[in-house]
Amino acid sequence: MTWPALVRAEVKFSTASSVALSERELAPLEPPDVTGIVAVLLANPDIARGEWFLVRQQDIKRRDVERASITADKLRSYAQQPDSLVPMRRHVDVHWRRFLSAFLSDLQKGQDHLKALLERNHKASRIATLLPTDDVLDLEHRENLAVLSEDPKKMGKAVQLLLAYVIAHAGYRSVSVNPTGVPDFELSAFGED
Amino acid sequence: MPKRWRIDSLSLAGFRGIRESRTFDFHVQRTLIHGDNGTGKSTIALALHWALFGAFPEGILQNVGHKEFVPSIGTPAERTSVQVVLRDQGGSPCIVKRQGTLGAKTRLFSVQRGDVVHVDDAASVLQGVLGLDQSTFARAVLLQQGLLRSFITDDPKVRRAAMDRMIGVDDVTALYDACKPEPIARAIADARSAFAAAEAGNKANTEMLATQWENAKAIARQFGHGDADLVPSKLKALLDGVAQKITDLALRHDVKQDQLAPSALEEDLHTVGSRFRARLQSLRTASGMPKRLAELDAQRQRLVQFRKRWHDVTGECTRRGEELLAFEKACGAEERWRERHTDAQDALQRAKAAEREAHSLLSLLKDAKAIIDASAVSSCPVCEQMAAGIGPRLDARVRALATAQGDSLSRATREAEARVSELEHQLASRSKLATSAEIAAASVEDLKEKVCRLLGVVALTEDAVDLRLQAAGEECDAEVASAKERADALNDDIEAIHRALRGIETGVGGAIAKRDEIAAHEKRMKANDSSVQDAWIAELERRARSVEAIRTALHDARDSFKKAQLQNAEDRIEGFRQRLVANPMFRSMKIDVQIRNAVDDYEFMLEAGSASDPSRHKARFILSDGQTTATAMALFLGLAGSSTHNLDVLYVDDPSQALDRPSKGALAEVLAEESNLRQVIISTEDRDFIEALRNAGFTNDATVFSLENWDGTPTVSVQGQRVK
Repeated sequence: MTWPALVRAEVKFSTASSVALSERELAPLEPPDVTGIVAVLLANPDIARGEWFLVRQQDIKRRDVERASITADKLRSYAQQPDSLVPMRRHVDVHWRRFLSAFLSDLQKGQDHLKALLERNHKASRIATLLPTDDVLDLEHRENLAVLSEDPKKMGKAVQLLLAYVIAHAGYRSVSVNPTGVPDFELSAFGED
Repeated sequence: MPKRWRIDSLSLAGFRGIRESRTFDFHVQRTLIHGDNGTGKSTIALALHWALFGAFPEGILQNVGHKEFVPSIGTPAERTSVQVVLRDQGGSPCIVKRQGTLGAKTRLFSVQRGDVVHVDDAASVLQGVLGLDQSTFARAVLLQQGLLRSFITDDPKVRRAAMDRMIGVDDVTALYDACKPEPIARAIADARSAFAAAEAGNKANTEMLATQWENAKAIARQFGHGDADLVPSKLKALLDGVAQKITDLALRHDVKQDQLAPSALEEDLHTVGSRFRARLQSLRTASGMPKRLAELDAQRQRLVQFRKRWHDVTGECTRRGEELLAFEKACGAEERWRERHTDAQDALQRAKAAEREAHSLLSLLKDAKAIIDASAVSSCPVCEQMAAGIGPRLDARVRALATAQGDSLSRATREAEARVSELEHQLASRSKLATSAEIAAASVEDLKEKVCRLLGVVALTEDAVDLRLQAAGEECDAEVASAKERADALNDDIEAIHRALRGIETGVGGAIAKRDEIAAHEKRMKANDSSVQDAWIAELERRARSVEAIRTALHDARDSFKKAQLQNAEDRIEGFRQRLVANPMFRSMKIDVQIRNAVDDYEFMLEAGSASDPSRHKARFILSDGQTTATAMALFLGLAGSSTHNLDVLYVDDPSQALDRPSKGALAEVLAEESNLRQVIISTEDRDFIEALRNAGFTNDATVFSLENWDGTPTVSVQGQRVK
């Protein structure tokens, strides 16, 4: 399976057991010109283990949108589909913990600081040097997520920024983050120098 | 159209009741084997079964202890041999031979068109050729009373097993019984409770490990290590940092050492620590600091001792000199003392001389007085004075000399002697003082030379010695202080590295060990998380559903097969029953299949009464033992006739037990009719039945074997002619 050329994502970060999606958020993710993904992180240890659920826009059922609630179980079921996002999910599973561990303190310093840091290092292809080489324990990841959960509203934007660079780390040179509108970020120029 | 096979001959040796080799050539249609009990009739039927299948039908003969059961008494198991020659309609043979009893010596050959088929394949080839297995053979070819008796038992399980076997669904029943959903349901319940227990345990472990992890981090922080240090890769960096510090320290102290090998991730932390500590120890030794300090300290001690000694020696010298001076000052110079001594000695000599003279004079006077007194001379021969006047004067003079004058002279001598003695004593004292002064002076000189050697100078004035020793001492003190400072610095550096190592080992190493423990725990958790558990439960449930489906399918298949078999054979069974069982009261017999406790049960139901007023009765409650046997035989013959296989043989072993004469006659007629359709071999000891067979025409063109005079092997006659 190949990586999509143009990725648009709507990111949801919540400490609840479900998230709400609107048509307005899904519209920019409409295929076929883009691969639209809905990325959900549930920082609730009773519900999930702090992993990202990556779901294709077209797989989201309209009735879920109308109900304005997609549960963790449903997200998990969507995210287990053997679809075109499999490599991306695998990549995010492998790197997400390491990114969060590496940039948590920067994330706490504010979005601007984190954005500048990520932009600079991504441009210079130095992100990998900043990541821990050791495995991040579930325990440590839970602690890191607990930090995020302390102020989900504030951390939400930083988390989507971080996810953008996690996926970009797979080979997207261009990262465009949109903290106020939709979609939340856009990735392109995969594999270009 | 498959080939139909008949038994051409059976040769056996060392098999149960036939020890010596015997061959039975069977008639193509009819064979009768008769003989009294124990002459080997059943041995022939068993030999046929064993040759074809290597075992015996379950429920009829024991399949255990073949070694004891199969060989003839006194025959080694490996000499047991049975060969069956089968022949099809075209005359082609198929030879089956079995040798030995069990294990590696058991051999089975199937020879077809000259090809010898290997033992492993022979059984399946044979099964393919004959189109029947052991179970079918037992229910459709070989009729034995043991099997028939099972139909009439009151035990439904035995009835069911016998009927299932007879109908040919016993394997399916065994499968059906094996496909039990309960074990899987139990496994699901067990798995659920095991998972729940494991989850509770894991949760408790997780919490405990989280607490231990916090403690480990706190300990690491006490050693100055932050959370970022508590990972394996950082541990290596920290150890490499310590290695670099040791290298730098060696350089700083001019200690040449081999490059300290960096730590490897796979290396045990304790080993690395020991290696580093050994290096620090060798660095301390190689730096020479302790030795240098010891040397300097010894030099300093020497200088202090020399200086003290110098003070002691020069002080002694001064004291001795002063004592001599004081003596001389008090007593004069030595020359003067010697003069006095000479004078005193002279005076003593004089006193002694005066005393000697006085003694001589006294002696003379005493002699003179004695002469005068003795000679009675009138005058002194010396002075010629008159003796009379001399005597008293001599006495006076002697008394004077002997008393006051003598004492005075003696006293003068003693005084002179005392004077001399005193002077000599004083002279000795002075001499001693002088000697002491000389020794002290010599010691000073000796020590001065040693000091010169110690300080490395050629010569020193006496006044310079103390100053030079003091200066050298101060110089040495400075050097000691400097060396001590360097040694302290080295020790501090080494201690700092030791502390760092302890911090890494205790703080970082402890935390990383805990980290590894947590990682292993998390790995176990992942391997056993709820999705894995759910998948496992789902798999078990799927299997339970499969088992249920298989069970239902088996049940349905068995049911329909059973019905079909019984339906197909129904008319034949009824036909045989009416001929074999003489009982005018019952119109017909039906086989009821009832389900009791989810298990099929067979019941032979006899129908009586008129069609408008029927009544049904359980055959086993109504019929006599003989009638029940005959009914069961009808069932066997009916079902055997409807079985499909390629062995065109009915082998009836001793069928007339418990039958009355009419039934025997009926059975003989039935078998004679059967022998027109296929090969029939009958063995019996029943003379009535033989007579009935003769009457039925069975023996007209049959081969008749007579077995008698058994002595380990029977004597065999064919048509009355004895054969070997």
